[in-house]
Amino acid sequence: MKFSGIIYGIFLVVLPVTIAISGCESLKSSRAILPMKEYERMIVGRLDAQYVGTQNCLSACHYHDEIRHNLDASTMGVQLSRKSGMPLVNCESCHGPGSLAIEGITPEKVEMDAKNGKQTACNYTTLIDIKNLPAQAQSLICLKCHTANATFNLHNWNAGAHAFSDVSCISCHSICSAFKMGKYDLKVQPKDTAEMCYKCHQDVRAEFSLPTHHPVPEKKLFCTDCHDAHGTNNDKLLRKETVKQTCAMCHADKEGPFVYEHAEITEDCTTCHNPHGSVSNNLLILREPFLCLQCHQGHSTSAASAMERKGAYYTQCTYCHSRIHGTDLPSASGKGKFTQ
Amino acid sequence: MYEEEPEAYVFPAITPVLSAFTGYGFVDAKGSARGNEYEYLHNSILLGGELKVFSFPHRLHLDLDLRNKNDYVGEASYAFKDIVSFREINRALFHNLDNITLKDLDPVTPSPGVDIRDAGKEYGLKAGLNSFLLRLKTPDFPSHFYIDGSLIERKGVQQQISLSGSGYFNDIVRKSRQRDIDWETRTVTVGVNSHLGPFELDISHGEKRFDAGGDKVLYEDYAAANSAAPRGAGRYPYSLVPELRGSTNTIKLHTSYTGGIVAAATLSQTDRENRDSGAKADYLIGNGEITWAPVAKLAFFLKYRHKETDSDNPDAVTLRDINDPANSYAYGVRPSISSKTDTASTAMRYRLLAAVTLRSEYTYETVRRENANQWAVPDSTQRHVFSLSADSRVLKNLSLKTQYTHREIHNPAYNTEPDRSDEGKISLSWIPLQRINTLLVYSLSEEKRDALLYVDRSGAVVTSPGKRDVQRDKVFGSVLFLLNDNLSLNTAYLYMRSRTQQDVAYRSNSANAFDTQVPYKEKAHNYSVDLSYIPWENVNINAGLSQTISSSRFFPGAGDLLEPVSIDSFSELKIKETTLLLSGGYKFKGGLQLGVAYNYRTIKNELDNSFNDWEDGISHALMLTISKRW
Repeated sequence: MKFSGIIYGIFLVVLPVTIAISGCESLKSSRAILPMKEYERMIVGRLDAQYVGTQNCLSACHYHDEIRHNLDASTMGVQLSRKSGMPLVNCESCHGPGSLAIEGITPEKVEMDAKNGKQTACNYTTLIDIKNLPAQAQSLICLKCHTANATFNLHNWNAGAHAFSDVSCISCHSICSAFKMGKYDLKVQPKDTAEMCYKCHQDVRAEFSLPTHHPVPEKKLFCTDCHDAHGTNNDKLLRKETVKQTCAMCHADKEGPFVYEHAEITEDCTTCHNPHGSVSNNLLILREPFLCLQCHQGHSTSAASAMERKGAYYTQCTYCHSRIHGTDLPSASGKGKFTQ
Repeated sequence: MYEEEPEAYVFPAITPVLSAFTGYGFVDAKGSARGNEYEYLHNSILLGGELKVFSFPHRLHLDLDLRNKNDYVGEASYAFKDIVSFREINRALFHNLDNITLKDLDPVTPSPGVDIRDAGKEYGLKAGLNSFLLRLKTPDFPSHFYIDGSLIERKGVQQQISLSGSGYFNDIVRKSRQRDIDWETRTVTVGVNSHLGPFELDISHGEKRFDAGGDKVLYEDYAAANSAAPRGAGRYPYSLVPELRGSTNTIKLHTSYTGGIVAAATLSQTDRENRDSGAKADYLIGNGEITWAPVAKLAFFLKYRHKETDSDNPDAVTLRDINDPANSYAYGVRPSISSKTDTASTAMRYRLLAAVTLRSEYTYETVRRENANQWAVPDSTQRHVFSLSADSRVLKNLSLKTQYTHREIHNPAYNTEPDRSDEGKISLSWIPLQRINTLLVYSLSEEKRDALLYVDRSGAVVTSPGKRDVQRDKVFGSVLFLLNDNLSLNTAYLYMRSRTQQDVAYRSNSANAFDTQVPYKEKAHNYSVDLSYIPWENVNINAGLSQTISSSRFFPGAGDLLEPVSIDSFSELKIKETTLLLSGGYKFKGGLQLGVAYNYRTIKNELDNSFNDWEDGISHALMLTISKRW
């Protein structure tokens, strides 16, 4: 298939047409999803709230000093300043317009409170109650800036399993407390990923305790090696287009194509393997020979057969059929029996 | 974002953070290395540390945890404004592998026999997994260029078991030997993406290579095979690991312009070529999905996926004697299965009440196959999947999740695929007291198949008289006690059970035979207790104990399979695995900390079945570390 030529052709046509339609100015604006500003106001419940800027928020309410420090140290912290050259982000980008929260708070009141040894608290109940929003609304606060291009692994977020199941961005990402918790860039470090996923997938944690398992509990493989929590085109949020392609990232020796294929069974490795963990060796979902006998006729045997013959035929099929994932060499029978 | 700042924001100085540690790890292991499958079982010096420098416009993060040459994790990240973003993760793990001792139940008789050439050898592989991503953004314009890649290496020695002798029925010898492994998989993807007003576009090209070093192919002196396609005695290749090359082109489109409707489409083409045999496979995959949320409470999801698999294997293959090229044999090859799969699904999410959400989903899939008749599988298969689920917060401290899925499959291709199945799952989360969290999850699935098909020795398809039933259930429960602010105790229990009952086909006295309704049972219990305690501000103590007991067995009933020994005795299994983890740390003034970690693992074959391949193993690992944070 000369598919690459088609793709590049589409790209060359789509790009200038799109630029012509949208105009260069709109391209440069990198604007957020509309109409977010109004949406935030509706969430707050007061349409008369106004944006007052970061300085007004931070100068009045020192309860947030530690949070501010954590935010400053995060990737998004630098976006508080225009000098960063990045899209500007401030407290109100996530918490909504703050005019109602600081209503009645004047520099004089802040100064007076300070003299009396107390901090001036804002009326934070008028801000967006992020923790109690529906998951979709929580995510929308992030998605207004993190459109697919800003964060392209969100390409399949909206129809993905997590978004569908009411998991939001803040279920995994800490915005204002990441630095304090020793994390980096608002996200968990790879070796700690499993602990984060187990918060919801505790039964999967137990599967990893079975006798054969991938070394996820040992922190040597990460959930994100196989899954992309942000959504993919595939079942189980697999990172690659198919099960086989996902497994073949590491197990390329079994990917093929081969001269003799195991029908099309090998397209889905989970037909025989449970990648999280299993009772049987090699992550097999059932123990050999029963695993194979589900589909294949066993070798010739009878009550008169010697024990050693039975043992040879009905212990581990893959001792003889050792190239079960596919082979390029014919067996002694001249067929593809995966023995050679 | 929306308004000018009233005054220039003064970006504060963020103090760099540096920490480092060193120490020593003592490891002692006896018996099977499977007792500690992923631990390099040698004493070693421990080194590591972390550096965070967030000095705008630079962001640098380095992290290293070096256990030994075969076991480490390192990460490096660097960003310059939003112009440059780079991340690299390098890690390695060591996988202890079995040396299975093949059993010769009657050494006097040469066939079936065994040929053990690797007695006493220890096997293991180092797996190196390295990946990087470099992303460059155009200043003040939402467009990126990126390159990501990976290098996955496997090096070491493993056991290779194969069929020797003539490799035919009258001369069966199972042979074990050492195989040197030196494999390398490289992938590189280059792409660009941009925000083009109403939609976003990403286009990328990837290349993949797999090189097999070490013992890429093995050779064996085979006796003459008197099969339907006879071949003479000779030294022939076996167990070839082919090298691979391939590429992937992907184009992605995404739009969320209105906020209410979100659409994404992906078109990708992947090709793979076996560089040894010339076998090829092409995959064309198109995905489209639309999300529509007309009101906040209601959302609809539409997905469509088309997948084409075009397999092109050679029509014939030649086997050559490496000592005598004239001694060669050509064999015809049946064509591999190619297929076209279309999958369409529609789903809905409805927030009935603030505390109740309902979801439903229906998926229809059809598979059309080429060359299916040569593999005794149907030309087409149709699958219907219905799913319903509900999440509810019954009380403020009690939430309930339920899910039910029903599948109908017409013309299933393989015996493991049912005609119909039902699956249910219920999850209950309850906080009876402020400091006690409980979770209970139960899932049950049933699969039914009316007719099982087998290909007999002559190539004819035979149908078994019985049905196939599969039942799986799993219960998981955990209780977390937050005894006080410094002490928590988590207990968990998992029970898994699987039961498959179906006919087993075999041959007896040159005729097809069935052992009817043979059950296979598998079950596993796992208990775990984890404790975390901070008695003083500068002391932390952690402990974890986990034990898993698992077993599997099937129960043939036909005399042919029971005499003179039941065939299930060759594979019956009961394994007990215990893990104990103890760790603690003491912080001195000035950022100095002492750490100790002890890991005890044991795996025990409870049946002591001389036929199966599990051996007992035990290991102790003690890590002592000293760290300093600046």
